[in-house]
Amino acid sequence: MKIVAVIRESSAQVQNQIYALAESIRPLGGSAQLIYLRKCEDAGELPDFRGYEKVLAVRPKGTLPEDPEVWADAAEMFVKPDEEVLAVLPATMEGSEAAALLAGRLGCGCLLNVKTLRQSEEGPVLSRPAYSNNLTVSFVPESLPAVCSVTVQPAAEVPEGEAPAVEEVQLAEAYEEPSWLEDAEIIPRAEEEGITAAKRVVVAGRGVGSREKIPQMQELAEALDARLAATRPVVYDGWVDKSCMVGASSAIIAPELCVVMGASGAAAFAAGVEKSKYLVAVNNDPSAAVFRIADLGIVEDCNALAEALLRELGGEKVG
Amino acid sequence: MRIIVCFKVTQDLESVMKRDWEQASLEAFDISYTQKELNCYDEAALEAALRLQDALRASGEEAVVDAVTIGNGNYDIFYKNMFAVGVNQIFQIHTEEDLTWRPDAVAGLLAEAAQPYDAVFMGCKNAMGENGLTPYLLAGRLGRPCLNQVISVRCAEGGLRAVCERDAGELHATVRQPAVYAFGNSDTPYLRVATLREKLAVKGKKAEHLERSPEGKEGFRACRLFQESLVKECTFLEGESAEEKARGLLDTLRKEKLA
Ligand SMILES: Cc1cc2nc3c(=O)[nH]c(=O)nc-3n(C[C@H](O)[C@H](O)[C@H](O)COP(=O)(O)OP(=O)(O)OC[C@H]3O[C@@H](n4cnc5c(N)ncnc54)[C@H](O)[C@@H]3O)c2cc1C
Repeated sequence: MKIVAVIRESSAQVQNQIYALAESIRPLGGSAQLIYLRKCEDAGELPDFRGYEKVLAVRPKGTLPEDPEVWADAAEMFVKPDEEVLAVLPATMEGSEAAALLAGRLGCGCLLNVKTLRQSEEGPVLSRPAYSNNLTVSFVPESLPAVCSVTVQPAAEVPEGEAPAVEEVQLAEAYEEPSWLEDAEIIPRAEEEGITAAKRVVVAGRGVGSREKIPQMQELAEALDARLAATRPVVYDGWVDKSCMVGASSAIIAPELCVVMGASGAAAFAAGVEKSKYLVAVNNDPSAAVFRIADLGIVEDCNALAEALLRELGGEKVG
Repeated sequence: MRIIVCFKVTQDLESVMKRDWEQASLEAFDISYTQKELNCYDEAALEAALRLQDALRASGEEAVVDAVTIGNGNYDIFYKNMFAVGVNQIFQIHTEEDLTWRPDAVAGLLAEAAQPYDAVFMGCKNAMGENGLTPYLLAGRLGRPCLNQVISVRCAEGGLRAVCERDAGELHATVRQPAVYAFGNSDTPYLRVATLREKLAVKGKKAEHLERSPEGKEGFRACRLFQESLVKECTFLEGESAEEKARGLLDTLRKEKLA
């Protein structure tokens, strides 16, 4: 079986995607090719491709729009319906969409949000979350080719070894806007909004009690030199902005410090914070599930603790 | 405009007993004792469809919202509210087979129901199976585009204006129908609740029940369902008061070189 990773040059996170996919694919044994779709004709320097056997850098004509169809176009140039190949894309929003589109074009199976890949006697085994992250379900492909999108862990390890050979290829077809689209524009997210990049995060859960308590959590976040994030109910109830939401269905974060205030630790939320280097959980229920993912647990009213922390810090900023 | 909402009635996963998670397997996993609820993303799709219906009618255009679900349970309690808040017709497709790991079979059944409609609204995934593929497979079968991770949809010149979450920000697109819209973290996540008067007004309304045999080519076969074991060990910080614990926390953070 051949393994082909397909990555599109996009945000600043692309280097991490390249490393993370190499790391995820490694347990399958053998080596993987990388199809790297460049953003535009005159894109600059290439990233570090260590971890792959060979790289095909696909150059488009002009500048590519943010359309997953072009991602699938590039993959389709190299992944054929009669080949024994597993195509692996990063499980970003566009990556998963491109995976589904590619599988549709190849008429083959597709699995999204795969967490781990491994080799077995039956062939590759791909596992992904199910039941809102409470369980894991494993699958085997019934035939090849097959396509999957793999969750990109933040801060993946840098692979060792030599940089592989890079072959430059021209994207076969020029982009044509789909006929169903009247007009479209992407409104970019402001850089400072991204909680994924924050080194310290304070998460407000529904246990904070009300919207009125959010400013105190914000103040605590600032005092700890952290960004404020929130669980889904806190966002859905409009207490904080959607860009602050963490969890399986929003941002997956891995900060150095994550302080979770008044969140139950439901699996769908835990998936978003469990990679934190040091996780402090504050909950007034000693049996709350959040303590199972915490390094340090504090059984306490989260608002009383926030108040006490602010008093203790007395305007001093840490970090 | 004719809109159909595909929805699923799921189990409340937050009240599943710990033991059932621990012992889960493909052969034996029964959580039917928990409460039923509307799949969260489908609930958002339903509310978005109703808001669109309101807006279209307010501007003098015709609009109908129908809904379709697959399942063998008794969902009358949900139907009562859905009819009362403005859903016109509901189809419940019964099948003998378990479709949890068969998104293509689900898409096949939904495609038949969705064919006559201008717009298909649905959630981006089902909280239980979580395959996230059904909207794409359905769109593929219908030969229509699929907009995923939709936040909101409103009427606009030339089509429907959809706002979708993208890796780099928000996609604002005007889309000609027919199309499939799969809702993610929507701006309107909760379905409106009907008043008593609204419920009384649709008292006699019933869903239409259909029997179907699913067909689909899945490509992947589920071979194991299990709970991953956790390895983290949590140390509890003791203290008599919030002040004492706050001091303890700051000391620990300093020791860990985090403060
Ligand atoms: C498909 C799907 C995807 C999901 N994705 C996400 C996601 O991405 N992110 C996410 O967050 N959720 C997600 N959820 C929802 C998730 O399952 C939980 O419902 C949610 O995380 C609960 O949020 P919470 O912990 O803030 O609230 P609750 O579950 O209500 O928990 C509140 C906690 O606060 C504690 N508490 C109460 N008062 C206090 C106090 N004064 N001091 C200290 N502690 C207190 C309580 O003991 C409780 O443990 C998803 C659900 C589904 C079905």
